[in-house]
Amino acid sequence: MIRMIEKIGIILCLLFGMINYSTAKVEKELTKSSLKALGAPNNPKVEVIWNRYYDSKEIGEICKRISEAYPKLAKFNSIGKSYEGRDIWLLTISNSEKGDPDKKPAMYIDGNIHGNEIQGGEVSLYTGWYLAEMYGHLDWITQLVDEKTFYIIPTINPDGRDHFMHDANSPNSPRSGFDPRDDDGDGLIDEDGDDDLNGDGNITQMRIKDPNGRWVIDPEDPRIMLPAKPDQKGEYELLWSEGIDNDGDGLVNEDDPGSYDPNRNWHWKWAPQYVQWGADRYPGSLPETRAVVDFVFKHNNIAAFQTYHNSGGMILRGPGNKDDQQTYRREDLQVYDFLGKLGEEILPGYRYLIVFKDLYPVFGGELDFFYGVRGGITFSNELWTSFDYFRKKQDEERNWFGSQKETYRFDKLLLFGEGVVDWKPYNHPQYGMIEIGGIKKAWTRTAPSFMLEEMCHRNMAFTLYNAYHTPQVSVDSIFTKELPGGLTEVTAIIKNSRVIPTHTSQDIQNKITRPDYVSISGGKVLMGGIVEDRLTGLVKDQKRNPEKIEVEAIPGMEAVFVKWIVDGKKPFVVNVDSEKGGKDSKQLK
Amino acid sequence: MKSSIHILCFVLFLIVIGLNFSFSQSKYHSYDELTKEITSLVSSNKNIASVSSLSKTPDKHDLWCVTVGGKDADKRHAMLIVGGVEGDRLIGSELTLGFLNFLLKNYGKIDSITQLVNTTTFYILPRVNPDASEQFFRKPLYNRTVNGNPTDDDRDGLIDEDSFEDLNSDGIISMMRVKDSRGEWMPHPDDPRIMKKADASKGEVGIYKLYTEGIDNDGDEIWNEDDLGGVDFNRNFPHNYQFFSKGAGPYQISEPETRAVAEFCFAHPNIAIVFAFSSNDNLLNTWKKEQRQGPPQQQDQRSGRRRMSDDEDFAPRILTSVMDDDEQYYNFIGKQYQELTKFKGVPASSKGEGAFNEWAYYHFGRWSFAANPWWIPEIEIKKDSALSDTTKKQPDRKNRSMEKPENKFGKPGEEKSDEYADQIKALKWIDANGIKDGFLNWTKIKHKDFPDNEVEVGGFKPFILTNPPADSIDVIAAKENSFLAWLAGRLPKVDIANVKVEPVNGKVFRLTAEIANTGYFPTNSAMGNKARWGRNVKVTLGINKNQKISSGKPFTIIEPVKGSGGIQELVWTIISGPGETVIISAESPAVGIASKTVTLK
Repeated sequence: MIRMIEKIGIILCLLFGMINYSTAKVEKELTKSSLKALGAPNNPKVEVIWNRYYDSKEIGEICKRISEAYPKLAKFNSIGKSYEGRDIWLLTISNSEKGDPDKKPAMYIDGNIHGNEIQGGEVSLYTGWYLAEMYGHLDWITQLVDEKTFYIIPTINPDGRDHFMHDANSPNSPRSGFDPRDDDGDGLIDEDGDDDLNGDGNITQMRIKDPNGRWVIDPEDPRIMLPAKPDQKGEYELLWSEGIDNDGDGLVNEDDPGSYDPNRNWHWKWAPQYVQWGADRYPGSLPETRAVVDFVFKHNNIAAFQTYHNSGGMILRGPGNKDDQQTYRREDLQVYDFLGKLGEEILPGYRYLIVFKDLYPVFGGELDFFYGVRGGITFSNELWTSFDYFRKKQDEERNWFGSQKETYRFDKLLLFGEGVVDWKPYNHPQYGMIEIGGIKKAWTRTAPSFMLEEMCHRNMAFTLYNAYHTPQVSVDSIFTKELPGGLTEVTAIIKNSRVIPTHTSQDIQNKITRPDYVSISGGKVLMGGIVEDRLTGLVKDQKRNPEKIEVEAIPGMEAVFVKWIVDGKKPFVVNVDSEKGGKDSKQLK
Repeated sequence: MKSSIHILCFVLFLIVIGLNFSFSQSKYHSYDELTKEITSLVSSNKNIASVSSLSKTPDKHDLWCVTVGGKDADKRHAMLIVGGVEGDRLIGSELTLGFLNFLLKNYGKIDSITQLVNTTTFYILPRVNPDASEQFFRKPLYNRTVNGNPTDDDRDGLIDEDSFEDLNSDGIISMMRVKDSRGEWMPHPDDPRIMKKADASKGEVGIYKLYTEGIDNDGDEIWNEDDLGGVDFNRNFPHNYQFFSKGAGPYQISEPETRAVAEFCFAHPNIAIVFAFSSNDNLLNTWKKEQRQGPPQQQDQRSGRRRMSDDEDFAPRILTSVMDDDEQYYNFIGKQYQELTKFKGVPASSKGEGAFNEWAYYHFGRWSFAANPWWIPEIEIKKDSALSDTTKKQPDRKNRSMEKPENKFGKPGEEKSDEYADQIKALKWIDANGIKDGFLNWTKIKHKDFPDNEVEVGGFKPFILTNPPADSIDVIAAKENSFLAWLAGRLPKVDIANVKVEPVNGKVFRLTAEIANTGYFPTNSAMGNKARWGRNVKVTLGINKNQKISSGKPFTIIEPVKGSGGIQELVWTIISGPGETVIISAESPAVGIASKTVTLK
C-alpha cells in the first residue's frame, strides 16, 4: 500500500514537475530558541541545515524555497543545461523594490566548477539564504541587499556534482564534467574508469602483499602506507586507484567519464590541450562554460566575481599565466591587495596568492576570463584548509590537503575513524588477492559537518565585503555660479564611495563597458565637460552631447567634477548612470 | 622528380577533362541561387550526395554542408572543403561550389573521379559566411566581411549606430575625400585617382581627408565606424585570436557559423585534410618553420620559500609555425600547386588572426591548406584572365620563386616598398580590360558634415579587387578542381605487410607484422599527434578464448607512420594451439582500416 502511494506520488511528480514536489513538502516549524546565537538567523523562514551537502536538485529546491519565501528579495531561474541536461540554477538576491536588480552594481558568485569540489555550492547557497533571512534585521545587510545584486550559481558543474555525490568516487574524482571524451585515443569513449570493487561507495586504494614491494605499513597508524626507507625491506606494492582493466588494453582506469578540466576551458589566454591538459576542444566548448559566458555577457552590471574551489585555504587572484602579468595593472592590483588582505583576516589559515606564481600555471581559467574579458575584480577561494585540523602553524610536510599524518590523526581523534576505509582483502579479477582501503571520498577535501557552517559563514563574509566595495556612484553635491547674460555655471561632484572603480584598468583599456554618463537637465546646455584641474577649474570640453558627459571611470573612493555652462536658472537635476556603479540623481533647487 | 612528372600528367589530364566538362559557372550566386543550385545538384545525385544545414546564421541563412560519398561517408577518410571563409571573397565560395559540381558531374563518367569518390568522402561547405557575402547582391554595394550579429564595433555602448550612406545614390559605397589642408592624403603622383598618404620625408603635403562614404550618424567625429553586423568568420577562431578588435566578436567561436563548423569538425574524426579558399594562403606562401627559441630557462631553485609548483616560469608554448616534421609536406604540396597554377606576382598571405585554416592545423591538428585563387593580374596580360594566358608560357620555376615574396608565416602582410603599387596595377588592369565602373571617378557631392569643404565620392568598386570577372571563374575552377582531386588522392592508406609467424615451439608463436602506409601523407601530422584530436592508428590483435597473448599488447596505439611506404613493426608472442588463427587489424578514422587473418603454425 505504501509502495502504491509512493508510486502515485512519483507519477504526480513527473506530471507536475518539481514545483509540486517541493510545495507538497511539509514545512517544519522551527522552535525559536531562547537566546539567538549571533550569526545565523534565529527563526528562519527557510529552514536549511548547514552541516551537510546537497546535490543539484536539492540546491534547486532550496533556491526555490528562498525565492518563494522572499519574493521581493530573491529570484530563481536556470541559466542553461549541463551536458546531461541538469539545470544550472541561478539565485538572484536584491531588493527589487529598490530598483531593477540588473541595473545595480552586482557581485557574481559561483561554485563547484570541478565536479568533486562541492562545498562551493553550500557556501554560495548559504550566502543567498543568509542575505534573504537577515534582510531587515541587520542594517548593513539591508543596505547591501537594497544597493547591490548578488548573482549566485551554487554549482556550474551539476553533472560532476551529482556524480560525485551519488556514485562511488575518491576525493579527487570527478574533476571533469560528463561530456564524453576519448582520453586515451583508442577510439573508445569513457570505457575504463574507476570501479568500486568492494561496493562501499568510495574509490580507495589497492595494495598487494609483495616481499619485493617498496612500501611498508606505518608503525604508528597501520592504515597509512609509507615508502620503505632505502635500506628497509618492503612488504607491499601499491596498485593505486580501485579498479579493473575494463577494456582489456593492459591499463587500469585510463579513460574515465568526461575528462577535461572545466577550469581550463575559458577564453582569456586559453591554450590548447597540448600546452595544458584539460583545455578541451576550444574555449567555451562545454555547455556549462557557454551558459555562464552568455549570462555574464548579458550582465554588464557585474563588477566583482567570486568562484569557489577546494581545497588548500587560498584566496587566489590572476593571472594564471606568467605572460599575462601586464594585464593586471597597478591601479587594479591595489584593489586586489586591499580585498585579498581583508580576506586573510576574515579567513584564518587562508593565504592571498597569485595563481601562476604561488600555485601553478593555468591557461584559460575562469578567474582570468572574468577579469580579462569582463574587467571584473575576481577572486577564487580554495575552500578548506589543513590549518583547521589542529589550528597549528604550517607543517613542513603539509601539502594543500595537509600532511598524511595530520589527516589520519584528525580522522582518529575527531572523526573516530569515519573518514577512512580500513584495508580489507579482495580477490581482484586481474591482480588476484589484493587489499582495498584508504581515504573516503568525503574526507580531505570537503569539511566535516561541524566545520562546514563556519566555512560557509567566513567565506560569505569575504564576498560580502567584495560586494560592498563594488562601485557605488552618487551625486555628492551640486553648486552654481551666476555668469553674465543669464548664464549659469553648474558644477557637480560625482563620487564613488567604494574601493572598486566603476571601470577597472582592464575595462578602460579595452572599452569593455560603456562610459559612465553624467547628465544635467534644466536649461539649455551650452557647453560641458570634466574638470581636469580643480584649482584652475579648466574643463575638457565635450563637443558632442554636452548635456550628457561621458566619464571614462570613477576611481574607488574618489570623485569626478563635471561642469556645464547652462542658459537657464535653477532648479537643475544631475543624474549619474554607471553600468557597474549604479545610478543616482540629485536636484538643486 | 619522377613523382612530380607523374602528378603533372595526372593534373594535365584532369584539366583537359575539367575544361571539356566545364559546367559554365560564369556567375556569382546569391544565397537563394546557391541554395537552389545545391538542392538541384544533390537531388540529381542522391546516390552519392546529401545536404544538411549545420546552423542558421543571424540573418537566417542556412549553413549548407554537402556530403559527397554515399552511404558510409562518415566511415571513410575525408577531406573538408570550405568556401567563403572571407565573406567578401565570393570567388572562394564559387570555386567550392564548382568543385562540388565537378565531383558530381564526373562521377560515373571518369574512372579516376568515380574511384576517388568511392574511397574518399568530401564534406563541402560552399559558403560559411552567407550574411556577409549577400552584400554582393544588395544595395548599397559594399565590401562586407561580417555576419548579421549586431555588435558594438567602436565599443561606445551603442550598436550599429554609424553605418555607411550612399551619398551620391549610385548604389555603391565607395570612398569619400574632403579637401582640407589639415588632411594627410594627396593624389598619387603616378595616377591622381589613387589617394596616398603624404610622405613628409619627400616634402609631400596632404590636402585631403579620406573616409568611407557616409555621414557621421552619431556625431562622434568618426565616420562609419559601427556598421551593420557583425563578426567576421575568419577572425573568430582561437588561433592567434585578437580580443577586443573589430570583427573578431566578443570571444573565440562566439558565432553560430564558427561554432557549427568547429563542432562539425570535431564530430568528424575521419577528416584528414582541411582545405579553404582564403587570402591567408599557404600553397603559394608556403608555411615555413620559424627559428625556435631556446629551451625554457632553468629554474633557479630558491630555497626558504615554499613553492607549490616548480613551474613558476612556465609560459604557454603555443605553436605559431609549422612543426619540423610537417614542413616538408607543406613544401611538396605547395610546390605542386605552384607548378600547376603557374600563378605570377603572388601577393603575400594575409595576416591570420583567428583564421579558420590556421586553426584547422594548429588546433584541430589536420593537414590544412588554403589557396588564394585570384588577385589583380599583372598588366602585360591583355585579356581579362591571367590564367588563360599564363598556361601558354613555359614554366620558369626559378623566376617564380624569385618573385615570391619572402613572407615568413607569423609576420605576414609586411609593408611593401610601395603600398600603392597594387592599386596602380589594379587601375591599369581595369583600364586595359575596359571593366565598366571598376573605378568610380571622383564626383562632387554636398555633405552636411562638411558644409564648407569640397567633398568628392569615388574609388574602387567594392569586390572588384578580390573577385575576378564572372566569366573567368571557369578557367580558375578547372585548375583548382584538378588540384583538389589530386590532393584528395594523397591521403594516407594503411596496410598490414610482411606478416611473419615464428613458432617458438608447438604452442608458443612469435608474430611480427608491419603496419605500412601506402599513401602519401603520414597517418597523422606531427601537429595532429601533438594536438590529440586526430587519432593515431590503433592496432588490435584479435584472439580466441583459448589463446593468450604473453608479450605485446592486445591494443596498440602507434605513432604516426610516414607515407610512401613507411612502416612500424609490431611483435607479439602468443600461446595458442597450432593451426589456430588470430586477426590483426589496424584502423584510424582519418586513415581507414586494414585487417589480416594469420594462421599460427
